[in-house]
Amino acid sequence: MSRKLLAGLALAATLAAGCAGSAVAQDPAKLNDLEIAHAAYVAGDIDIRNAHLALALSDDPKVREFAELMIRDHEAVNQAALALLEKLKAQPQDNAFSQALLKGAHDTWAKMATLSGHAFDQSYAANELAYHQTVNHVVGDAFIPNVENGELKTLLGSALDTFKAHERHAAEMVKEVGS
Amino acid sequence: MQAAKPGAGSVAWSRRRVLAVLSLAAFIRPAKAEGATVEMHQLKFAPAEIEIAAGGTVTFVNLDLVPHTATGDAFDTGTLRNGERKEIVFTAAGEFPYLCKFHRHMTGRIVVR
Repeated sequence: MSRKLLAGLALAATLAAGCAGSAVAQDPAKLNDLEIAHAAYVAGDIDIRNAHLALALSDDPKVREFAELMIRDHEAVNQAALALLEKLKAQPQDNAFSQALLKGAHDTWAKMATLSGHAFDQSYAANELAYHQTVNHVVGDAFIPNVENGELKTLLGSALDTFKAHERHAAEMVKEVGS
Repeated sequence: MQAAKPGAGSVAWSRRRVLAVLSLAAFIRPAKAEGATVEMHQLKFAPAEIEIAAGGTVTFVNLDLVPHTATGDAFDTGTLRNGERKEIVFTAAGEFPYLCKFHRHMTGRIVVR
């Protein structure tokens, strides 16, 4: 089984948890460049909103530091993506994959908003680790190999370096906030 | 009595004059301090360790999409966004470990001799 397919299945499994009854997510390996740009932007925006939720609900300094990092880094990557699209005079294209990402995120936010204190911190940390693992597989195994525009490929590669660091940081946060 | 070889005196004199001028120039113009550039790239400082002379300048330049800092006890570049750079002059000898305060796994060290 190819890594690309595994990545797609991993994301589908994650999304399925928050997408009961919704359409099956579009295969990320079949997106065109403008759809990939849209999905990558949406994925970053979701993590920014995750972080704002954490800043609103958590008092844990480690969680808050991670959340601030997510806002700072994902905003920078998304701004770079928008600048590239503007340079290319291209518009990102909404697609079923982006919509499934958003649907899953809304379900996650609804659940996390009911939590507080340590329970929230644990949930946020675990979700950040799972989210980065999934998104990193998709970006590395589906988006980057399939994207045609060289500049977008380079941008995604640079972004993936950052997201992998986030994944390692999230794994440390999971250990630190306990299980 | 040894006869002077034609031209030898003027060559020797020229060498002495050049040396004198160079020596004088060393006093008039301060020696150009050694410098180095540290790139922030792929969430690493490259090179992570450098050695410079006292009075030297280290230029930090961020090639990543995300903001970084180079922050030590004795210096701080502040936030550098993509493409931005900051020069820091190291006047005193010593070892200066530093990190990116946003990405704490990014570490480096400057040795000033």
